[in-house]
Amino acid sequence: MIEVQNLTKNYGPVAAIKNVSFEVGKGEILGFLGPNGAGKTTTMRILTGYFPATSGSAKVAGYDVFNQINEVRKRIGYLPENVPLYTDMSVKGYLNLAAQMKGLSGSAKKKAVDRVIEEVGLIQMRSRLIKKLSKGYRQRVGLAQSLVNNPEVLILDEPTVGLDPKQITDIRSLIKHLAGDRTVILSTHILPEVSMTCDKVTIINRGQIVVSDTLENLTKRSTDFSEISVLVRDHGKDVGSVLRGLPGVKEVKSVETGKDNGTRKFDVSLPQDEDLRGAVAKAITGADIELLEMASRQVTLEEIFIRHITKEEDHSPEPEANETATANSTEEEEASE
Amino acid sequence: MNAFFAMFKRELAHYFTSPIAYVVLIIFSILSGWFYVQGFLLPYSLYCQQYDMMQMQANPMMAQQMPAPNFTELIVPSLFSTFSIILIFLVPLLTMRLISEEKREGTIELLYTYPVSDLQVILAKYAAALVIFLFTVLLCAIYLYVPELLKEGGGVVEWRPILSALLGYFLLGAASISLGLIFSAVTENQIVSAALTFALLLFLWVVGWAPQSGTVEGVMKTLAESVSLTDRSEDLFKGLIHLSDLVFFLCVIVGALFITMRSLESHRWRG
Ligand SMILES: Nc1ncnc2c1ncn2[C@@H]1O[C@H](COP(=O)(O)OP(=O)(O)OP(=O)(O)O)[C@@H](O)[C@H]1O
Ligand SMILES: [Mg+2]
Repeated sequence: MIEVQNLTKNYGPVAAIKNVSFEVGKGEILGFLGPNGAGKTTTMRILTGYFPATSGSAKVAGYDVFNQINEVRKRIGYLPENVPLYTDMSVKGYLNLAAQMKGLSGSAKKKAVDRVIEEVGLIQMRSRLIKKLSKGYRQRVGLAQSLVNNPEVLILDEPTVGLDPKQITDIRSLIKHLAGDRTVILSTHILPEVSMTCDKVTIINRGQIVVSDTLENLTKRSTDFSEISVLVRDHGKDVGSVLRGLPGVKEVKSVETGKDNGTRKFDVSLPQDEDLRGAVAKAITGADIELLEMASRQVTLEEIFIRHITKEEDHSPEPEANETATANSTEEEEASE
Repeated sequence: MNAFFAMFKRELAHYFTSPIAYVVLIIFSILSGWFYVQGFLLPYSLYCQQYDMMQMQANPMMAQQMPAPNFTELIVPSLFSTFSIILIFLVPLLTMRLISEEKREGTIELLYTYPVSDLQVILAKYAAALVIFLFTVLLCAIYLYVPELLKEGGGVVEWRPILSALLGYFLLGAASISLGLIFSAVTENQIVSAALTFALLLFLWVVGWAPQSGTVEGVMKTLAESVSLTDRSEDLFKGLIHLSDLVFFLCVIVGALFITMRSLESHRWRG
């Protein structure tokens, strides 16, 4: 449904995104994840035809974003980052306008507006002026506006930013419900958002795609039994050497010492191909140490995110002299923001 | 078309809710009303009285020195010259927010991603500003009709020159608004937009003085004569319709709308 290939966008000498490629299949919800300034908004603006890319190509709903942008526009719904609305209008008046701008008229328009007002839960607020709505309800108006042409593709730029926790959950479940068989791209820098709403994740950092996979694969990859943590009460015994003495154990790290109650926590790396959890448990109890807890370390999305992003930064320490100048200037800009 | 009317309706409604329309129309009514009554209507009726007295005295000598009161010739051109100066102050108020506000608020981002052309949006906004301006044209038409009511039997007002004057005034306003639209597209700051519009309109007025004062000559003189918007409408105010003047105004309007469109496009390409 959405195919992005080698998109690059330069703002003057600074590249906001570089060679971004990803794909989203029909009916999928893609979480577009990245820290501030990563290039999420820039990518979305290219997909919606707000501005063209410097190079690369993108197809949305089967149409080329550069040559057939009007066909694309008819088939998408877009919610920009700061939810720009005509705040002097009433909810209904505004949605009527949006519907007409998207080519609806007459009874089709009326039906579409009534439908979205109901879908996003704005029935009580329909005749209220937008400037008198709370942030959460404005977000709903923004969503309603994006949905009014019944689009195949929804592009939502940080739809839950700035909302209170209750509104965040409401909007999230609303998005999940609205998605239906639509294709959705949702950008965010909040990790739980991705695990709660999305099927696929694309992580972008400093304008480049870091990793792109299904949520399942990403989390599966990191929840095998090769990383476990154990919590013991050692009674003065040297747990470290007991664990290290086990055949197959690759690494043992002491991570925590509970001072008063004599507990200690270790992270143990085991081989990938063998389930050694039983052996570890036996060795510990055999050495007369109390085994209090043992768990395979669930690597959270947070860790994947940070791991990928830091890896990315390790890879690129001053590669070419001419590129560092621009890279430094972007960093300064971001720091000053 | 659908999108055009939707946008047009919104812009028009915004003029009244904001309430720039009321501000502009009230200011125009007060200023123009003052000039009309104080500066033209009262002197004119005084003149008519004096003239009638002369006629009664049947003093042929004096009667010759005092031409018969002709409303259209005596009053209409200078009345509209005065109104066109009021326009210089009011047009910036009408145009300043049209596009700059969309830029500042970010609503232009959504406009750009709707399946509508920039031209539709620009024309809708232009048309809405024109409608507000048309109210002032209507008021002018009423001013011109008043003497007809005051004098028994009427016959004071000659319709052809007056329609020409109204046309001149309309074209002048329409051209000024189109110029203002350019400045609302180049900045997201309404004050800057208004200031630039005001400066340009003021310049296009005063530039017409240069040839009269004889300070410029040759090419500069021709140039100064031909770009002055206010001068261009002088002949129309007098009831003289030249094709060249009409074409001039049309060119200004089309050109300004075109520049506005290009300026929106370029912002988009530069991001
Ligand atoms: N108009 C602009 N001119 C110059 N640089 C820009 C412009 N807009 C964005 N950038 C730069 O492009 C980069 C990507 O910005 P973008 O807005 O796409 O990031 P983002 O991922 O959406 O960030 P955020 O999470 O803060 O919304 C940033 O480094 C930003 O400074
Ligand atoms: Mg952003």
